[in-house]
Amino acid sequence: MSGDRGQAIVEFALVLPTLLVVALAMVLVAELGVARLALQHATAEAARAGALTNDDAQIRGTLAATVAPLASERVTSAIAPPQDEPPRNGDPRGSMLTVSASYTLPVPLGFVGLPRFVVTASASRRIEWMP
Amino acid sequence: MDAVNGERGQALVIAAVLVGIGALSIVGLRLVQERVLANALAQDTGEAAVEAAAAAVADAYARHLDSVRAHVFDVPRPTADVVALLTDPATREAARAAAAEAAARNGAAFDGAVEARCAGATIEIELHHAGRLHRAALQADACSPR
Repeated sequence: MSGDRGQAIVEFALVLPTLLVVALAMVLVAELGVARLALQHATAEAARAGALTNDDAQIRGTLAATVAPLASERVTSAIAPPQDEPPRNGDPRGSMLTVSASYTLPVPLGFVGLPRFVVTASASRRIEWMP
Repeated sequence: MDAVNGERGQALVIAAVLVGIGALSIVGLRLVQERVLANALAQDTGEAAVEAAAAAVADAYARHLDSVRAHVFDVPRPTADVVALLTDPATREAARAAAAEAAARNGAAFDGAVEARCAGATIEIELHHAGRLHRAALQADACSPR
């Protein structure tokens, strides 16, 4: 009888790390979903802004403004084709513009070697802007 | 003693159940997320496609008006026929091709038709993508009956 004392505590201590890992995984999966949706929405809005303005500053500004609830400083973006290259530096109306973005998800306990999660999204729009 | 021995491992059993529930929750969450994201992507793609189609129709409309203006002193004087322009196979194909290209650039395929028609003083453009109706409109004074 005395050998069973505290057994539940020992068992709980053994499985506690597993439970914590599962809980962490659930939080991460939820965060990933939010990040993917937010980034997809932001790239679509940014590409639309680019289609109307043909202006990289407007595109990046729109991306930063619409990427909430993500931290915009963690978002890196790319615009293709670049503003100073054809067809965007001439008459780009009718050509396509693609905005890509990636977001590095902050991982709790990342310092213990957990992998970093990078979420990416892209959207393309036909440029309507005319010089 | 037997009753006490029977309690051994209860915490492990509960923990295993919790881990199982957690794993199921994660799988369910992932599945729901994939569906929500796929819906959002389809919505964005449809919007991109109809915007591209509308821009192609707008270009055709502008060219048509330019052509009419260029012959304004002809006899008889030409008038803008937007209905004929919108039913012209070339206009419809240009709109469809623009929509298809926009969809393809967004990772989807569009092989449907683009409908364009006059509605008051606007041209309405609509298409179906992934089971959704997407519409766009552009101002076209030449549409309105005089």
